[in-house]
Amino acid sequence: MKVGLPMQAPNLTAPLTTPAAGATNGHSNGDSPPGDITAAAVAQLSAQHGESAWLRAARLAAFATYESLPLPNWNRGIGNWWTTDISAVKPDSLHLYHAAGGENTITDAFSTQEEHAGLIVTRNAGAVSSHLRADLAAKGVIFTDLVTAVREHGDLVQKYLSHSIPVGTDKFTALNAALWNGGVFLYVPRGVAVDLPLHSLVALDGTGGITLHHTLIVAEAGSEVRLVEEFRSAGGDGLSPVRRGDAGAPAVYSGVLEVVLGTDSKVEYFTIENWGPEVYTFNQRRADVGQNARMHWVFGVLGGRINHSHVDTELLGRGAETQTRGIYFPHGDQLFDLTTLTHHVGDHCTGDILFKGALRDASRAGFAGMIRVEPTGQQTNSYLSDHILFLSDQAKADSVPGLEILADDVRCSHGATIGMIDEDQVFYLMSRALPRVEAEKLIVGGFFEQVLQEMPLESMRELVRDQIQRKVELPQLPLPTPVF
Amino acid sequence: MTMQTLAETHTHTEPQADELVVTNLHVAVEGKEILKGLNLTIRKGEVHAIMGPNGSGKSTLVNALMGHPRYAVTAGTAMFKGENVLDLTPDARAHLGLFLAFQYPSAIPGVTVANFLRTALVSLHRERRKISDAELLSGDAPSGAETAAAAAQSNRPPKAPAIKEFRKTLRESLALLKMDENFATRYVNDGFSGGEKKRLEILQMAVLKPQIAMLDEPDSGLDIDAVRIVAEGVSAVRGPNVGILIITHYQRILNYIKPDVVHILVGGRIVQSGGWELALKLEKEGYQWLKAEFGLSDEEMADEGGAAHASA
Repeated sequence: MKVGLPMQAPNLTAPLTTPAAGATNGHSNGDSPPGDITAAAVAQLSAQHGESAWLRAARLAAFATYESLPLPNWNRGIGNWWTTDISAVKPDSLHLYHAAGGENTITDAFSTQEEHAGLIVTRNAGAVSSHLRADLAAKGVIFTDLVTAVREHGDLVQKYLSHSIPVGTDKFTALNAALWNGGVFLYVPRGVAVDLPLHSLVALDGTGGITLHHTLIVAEAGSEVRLVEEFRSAGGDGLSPVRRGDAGAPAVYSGVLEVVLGTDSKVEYFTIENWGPEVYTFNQRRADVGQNARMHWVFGVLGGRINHSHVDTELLGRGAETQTRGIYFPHGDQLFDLTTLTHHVGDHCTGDILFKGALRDASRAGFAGMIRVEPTGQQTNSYLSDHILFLSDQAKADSVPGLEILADDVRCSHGATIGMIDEDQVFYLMSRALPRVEAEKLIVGGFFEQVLQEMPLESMRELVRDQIQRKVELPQLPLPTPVF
Repeated sequence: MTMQTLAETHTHTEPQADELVVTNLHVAVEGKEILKGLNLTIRKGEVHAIMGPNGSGKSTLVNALMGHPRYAVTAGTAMFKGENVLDLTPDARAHLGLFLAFQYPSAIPGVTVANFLRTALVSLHRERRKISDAELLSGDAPSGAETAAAAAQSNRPPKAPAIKEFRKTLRESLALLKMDENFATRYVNDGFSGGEKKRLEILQMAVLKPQIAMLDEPDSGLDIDAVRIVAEGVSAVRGPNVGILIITHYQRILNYIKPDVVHILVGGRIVQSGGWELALKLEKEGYQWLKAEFGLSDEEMADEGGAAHASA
């Protein structure tokens, strides 16, 4: 099926529940309006969900950690040459999104249109729709929102929740652990292969809020599953104009994703990050990969004002493997800051990371990739590369691949290339009657093609290809003088 | 034959539409003047060869005529179909019917030859349709039934081809250049041998059917068999509706494509034009005799391989 994401804002018809309207939500409690970020709100949320003592205690402890941590400093380089400025995000002044409630009204998303074995739609906070094919449920597959999972599969959730990603990783991770109110739980029992992808759609509307989303994937030994998470918002999509100075109040998405792979299991996780220009995204993602298990990541980062995402792949068991493919394409003054870690703990493991980014206008992209091999990680094969193409001399990028190798029998390599679009290529194509924009579309499309070819879903390839072409076609916005 | 084709055939007798007239062309590269007042007229149906020592400005001439941004035109005109092509962007020059077979064509990784050619044809078609409304109204709308062979004979612009028709054209052109069909699925010039690059340039010329085709050293770096294949490709395109300008160092390729006119370019000017015998003389005697005959300076005769060649 051919799918294109809509240019217009998503069709979010249900009314937004604002903090002011919070009282009508039926869980106002004295001095703390629901939605405030306070210890009282943590207790209240936990009580509202009827959570067990362990979870309530974990949330409160995480909140104490949140309060003790400073806002993260994601600057780096000599004299903070690279700056991911999140000063526009003031957690204390943000309110928590409430569940939008009602039925799912979104029908024009990749997730809702493509064939799938299950779909969970999360609006603001909380699922509005959750579906899993009956035969998979009968085999013991669990695919549900995290609140329901805590209620129905508390022991399983307790075993894995916040075990991979420490609560104290940074302030947003701690806040997420304290006040998460949306999320997905995916459990695949031993030996079960889920044939079609499972889809999770997260949609935000309104600004001034923060949504805290926690996704937990557990793949038991010998199982196989694919999860596609698609992100979008009411303020537009990855093609909307993004300009410094146009910024209203931000909408904030904090995502924590933990994946646990048992022996011989295979998990593929894809993202389509097609946020509107009002969204600031902070992601912490980690996979713990067991013996001979395979973790494949595919990232399509196209939208949002700022996207700071960290992905950590822990190759723990002998023969574990990971492959990561990423595409990023900021425009306007979007800023994408991506970091990856391939951590070789087990021996005979394989890591293969390839990112490609194109930058338009005055956008910025940072890529920091690290391969770390422990003394136990003998016979490692690990590769890391990042390639950046500038379509504008006002754009700025920072690509820092790194190696830390403590074992003595490994094969590792890393590299990065950065360059302006080649005027000889442009001339060559223009001499064949292509207008400049068509020439750029071919060149940029070709640049990304290597990564696209390795995306396992043809429909997703088509979607990303289409988005890339349309992004090249966007008119140039007059931009204020860069401040960096 | 349709009315339209007859009408267009008639226009061939009008010199304005039929010739590329280059007058007093001055071109600088990185501030250094390479062409110093070049004059040249190429009519459709003619084949011209330009020979000359390295650095004399041969590549500069064709790159400037095609509109490479690094070649700065400081004076002169190049009129074709009533327009000064030097005022146009490279794509507009292509729409007008100009074509350059590059000496060093760029690789476009990730873009297949087939996709590239089809995109180019669609671009050509899209633009030309605007000026052929009359053609549409007269009922002579493009028909998918027209064969590639007939299209090759016709002077009409290529039509945006249906996939099937495009594949047929592509197959025929590949066969003409003795290229395997899977060539079309490879990325443009990516990992191509020198010979493959040259053949792809001629293939593009065969598919795009230009009216003025400039070939920048289509024979350089080729063995004798490859030169013959390229020359056969050029000969197949040769005809009353296309003017061809071949740049070469060697008379070898000209054995296969007998030019109507041979020009000698030295020091940024055409110093002598003549017939086939001129190519033979250059092959036999080299370029040094020009120095005495035309009073050229050592600098003008020197191999200016530096700036000009690097940017060729």
